[in-house]
Amino acid sequence: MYNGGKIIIGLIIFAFIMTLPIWYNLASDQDPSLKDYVIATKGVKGKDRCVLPKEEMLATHMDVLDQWRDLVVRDGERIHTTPDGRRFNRSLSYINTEVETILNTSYSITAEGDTNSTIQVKRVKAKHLKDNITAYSCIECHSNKEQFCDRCHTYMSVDPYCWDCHIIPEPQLMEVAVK
Amino acid sequence: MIEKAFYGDKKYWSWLFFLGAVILIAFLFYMRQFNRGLTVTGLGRDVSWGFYIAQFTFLVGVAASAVMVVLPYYLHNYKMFGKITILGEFLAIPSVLMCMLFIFVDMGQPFRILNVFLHPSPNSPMFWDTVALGGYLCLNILIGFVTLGAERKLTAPPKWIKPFIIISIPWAISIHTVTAFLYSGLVARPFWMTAVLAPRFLASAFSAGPALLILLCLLLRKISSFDVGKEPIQKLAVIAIYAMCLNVFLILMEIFTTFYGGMEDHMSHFKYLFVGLDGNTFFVPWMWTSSILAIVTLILLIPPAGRKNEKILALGCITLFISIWIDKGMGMIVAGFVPNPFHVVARYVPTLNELAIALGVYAIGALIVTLLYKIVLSVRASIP
Amino acid sequence: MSIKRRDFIKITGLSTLGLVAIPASELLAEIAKTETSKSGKKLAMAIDLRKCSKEEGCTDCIDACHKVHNVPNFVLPDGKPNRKDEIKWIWKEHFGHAFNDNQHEFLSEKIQHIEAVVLCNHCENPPCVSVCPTKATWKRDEDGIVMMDWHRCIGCRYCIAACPYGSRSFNWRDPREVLEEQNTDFPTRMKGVVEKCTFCNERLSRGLQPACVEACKANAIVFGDIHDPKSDIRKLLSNNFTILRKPGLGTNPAIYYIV
Repeated sequence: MYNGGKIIIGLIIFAFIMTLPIWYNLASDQDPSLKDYVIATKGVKGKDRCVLPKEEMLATHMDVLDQWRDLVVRDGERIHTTPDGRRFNRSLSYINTEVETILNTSYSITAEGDTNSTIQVKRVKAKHLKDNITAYSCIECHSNKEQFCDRCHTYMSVDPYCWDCHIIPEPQLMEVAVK
Repeated sequence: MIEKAFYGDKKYWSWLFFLGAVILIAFLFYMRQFNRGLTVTGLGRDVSWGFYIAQFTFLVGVAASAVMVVLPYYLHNYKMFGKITILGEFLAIPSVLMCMLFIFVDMGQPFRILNVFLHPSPNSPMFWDTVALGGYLCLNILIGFVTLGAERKLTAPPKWIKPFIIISIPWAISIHTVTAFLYSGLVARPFWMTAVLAPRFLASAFSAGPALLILLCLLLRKISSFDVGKEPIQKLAVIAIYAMCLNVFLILMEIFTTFYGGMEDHMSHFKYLFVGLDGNTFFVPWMWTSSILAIVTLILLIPPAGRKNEKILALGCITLFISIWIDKGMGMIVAGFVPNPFHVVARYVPTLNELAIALGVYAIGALIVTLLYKIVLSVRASIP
Repeated sequence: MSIKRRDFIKITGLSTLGLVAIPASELLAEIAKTETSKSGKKLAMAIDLRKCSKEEGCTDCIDACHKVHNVPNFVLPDGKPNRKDEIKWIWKEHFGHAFNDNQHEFLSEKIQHIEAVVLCNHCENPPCVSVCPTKATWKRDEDGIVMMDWHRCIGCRYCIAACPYGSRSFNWRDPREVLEEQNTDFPTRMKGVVEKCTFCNERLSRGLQPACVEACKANAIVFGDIHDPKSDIRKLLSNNFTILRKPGLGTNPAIYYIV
C-alpha cells in the first residue's frame, strides 16, 4: 500500500466527521430519561391507557401512525378498537370549540336550535361514531406536544413532518371539547 | 480509467472551477426555492409546468440521439463512427442526469421521490419514463466504460456487451417516445394530444442531438489534439439535416390539421405562440425566431456544398440547435397550458431564480461531459 | 484476497441493480391484482344554477368549504387576489368559462350572467388518477370519490396537467403563511403537494353532508348516491334538464348542473 500513512489519517478524519453527531450529542448534556414523561396531559376519565403499553408505544408509535394514516386516508377506517374493546379515533386532529364556533357562523352544524357551541361539538363527536360512544384522537389525550413529542424527538434528533400539516394542539382550546 | 479526469492543465482546471462556481450559486438559488416553495418560479395555478419540464423534454431528446451514432456503428458496422460513438454515449449520460435533475428541481416534495418506486403505478406514463430513463442511464454507463476499457487494452469489447448495445438502440427510441406519451395522452390539453407528438419529438431529437455532437467534435478539434475526422462529421450532418427536414414536415402536418380543421380548442394554443392571445405576446418573438432559424438551417445545410464547408456547417448546427431548443425547451410545454381549461390566458415568464437553477443543472451537465470527454481523450492519447 | 477497484465498483453497481428488483416484484404483484368488486354506490352532486344565481355575490358554500378545510387565501401586497399561487376547492366561474362548449354569442342574457359553482368533478374515468405516478390520488371503489393522500403526493403536478376542469391546486408556498384561524379538526397542507375537493369524505364518515351542501341557504346543491333510484339527487335528475362540463371527453363527471 503506497501512501499508507496519508490514507489512514484521511480515514480517521473521515470517520470523525461522519460520527460527529454522536460526539455532539454525547457532549451536550440532554436528559434521555423518560421518568417524568407526561403521557396524558388531560385527565380523561377511564381513558388513561393508550392503544398499546407504554414501552411498545415508545418503540413502535411511528409504525402505528404510519399504518393508521393509510388505514384512514386510503381505506376510510377511522376507528381503532383495542382487543379489550376500547375505541380510539385514528387522528392527529382535535375538535377545537373556538374554531367550531367560528365555523358555525358561516353554516350550522345542527338544526335543532342548539346555540351552545359546546353542545354542538359534542353532537358532532357522537355523530362521528354513529353509536354515541366518544372515541378520542391521539392528541385529545396527549395534548401537550412540547412535553409529549418534542422532548424525545429533540433528543433523538428526529424531525417528523406531522405538524407541517396537522395542527399543533393548543391544550387550552381543547379543554371544553374533552371535558 | 476514472483517474484520468484528475490530471489536466490549467485551462482544464479553471473550466472545472468555473462550472463548480456556477453550480454552487445555483445551489443557493435552489435552497431558496426549497425553503420558500415553487412560488419563487414563474409557475402558477394555470401554467403549472414550465421551464424545468421543458428542459427535461428537450434533454431527453439529446440523450436519445446517441442512437444516431450507436446504430450505424454497431448495427451497420459503419467503422467511420468508431471514434465518435463513445462521444455520443458519453453525451447521453450527462443528458439523462440533467433530465433527472430537472424533474427533481420541479418537484414539490423532492425527498419523496422514492414513492415512485415504493408505490409503482403502471398506469402512469411518468412511472414508465422513470424506468426508461434510469435504464438508459445504466446502459450507457455500462456500454461506454466497457467499450472504452477494451479500447485501452487494445482488445475488442467483450462479447457479453453486445446484447446490451443492441437493447440500447430501441431503448433510446423508447425514452423519447414515453416522454411524448407523458403529454400526448392527456384529454385536457388539446395542444399535446396529437399522435404526431412522439414522431416530432424523435425527429427534433435526432437533429438537435447530432448537431450538438458535431459542435462538440469541432470544439474538441480546436482545443485538443483529438480529431474524429472529417467524414464522420459529414455523415452526422446528413443525419441532422434529414431529421430536421422531417421535423419541419411534421410541424407543418400539425399546422395543417389544426387550422384546416379549425377547431378553436386546438388553434388557440398555436395562436398564443405565434400571434399572441388576449394581448399576451411573450412567446411571439421567440417562436418566430425559432421558425426563421429553422428556415435558415434548411437553406444552409440542405445543399451539400453548404454543409461540406465546416464553417457553414457549424453555423447551421448552431441555428438548428437554437431553433429546436426554443420550440421544445420553451414553447412546447407552456403552450399546452395556455389558454387554460376555462379558455383564459395566463401569463408565464420564467423568473431569475428559475433560470439560475436551470443554469446550474446545465453546468452540472457540462461538468460531467467535460470529465467524461477528458477520460476518453486521455485513454485515446495513451493508445500508441 | 485482493479486490481491484474496478471490481469493487462493478459489485457495487450490481448490488444497486439488485435493489431495483424489490420494487419490480411489487409491481408485478400490482399488475396481477384484478379489479376489486364494486359495491355500486356512486356519490354525485346536482347544482341548481337557477336557485344558486338568485342571490348575487353569495359565497356561502365557498366560504364554508375553505374554512373547514383550511384553504388559504393568498393576496398580493396591493390587496388583489394572488391568482398565481391561488388554491381553491370550490369557486365560481362565468357560465361561458365553465361550460365553454355550450357557449355561443346569442345565449340568453340570464344564462350569460350566471356564475357557475365549480369543483372537482369526481369523474367516473378520472385522468388525474391514471397519470399519478405514486397513487397519491385514486378513486374510492365504495363510493366513487376521487381521493387525495397528502402524505404521499410528490408534487410532480402531472394530475394538474391531466385535469380538464382546472380543479386541482398546488401548494406553491406554505399555506400557513396566511392561515390565521384554523379548523383543528382538519389538517392544513404543506408546501409542495396538490390538493382538491374530496367530497368532504371526513364529514361523510360522521354522517354529515358536505360543507357546501349544508352551507347553501337556497338548497341549490343536492348530494347523494346516484345509483340509488330513490335518492333525492336521482329524483332531481329525472325531473330536470341537466348538463355536464365537457361531456365529450369521456371522463363522465359526477357534478350535474340544472340551468
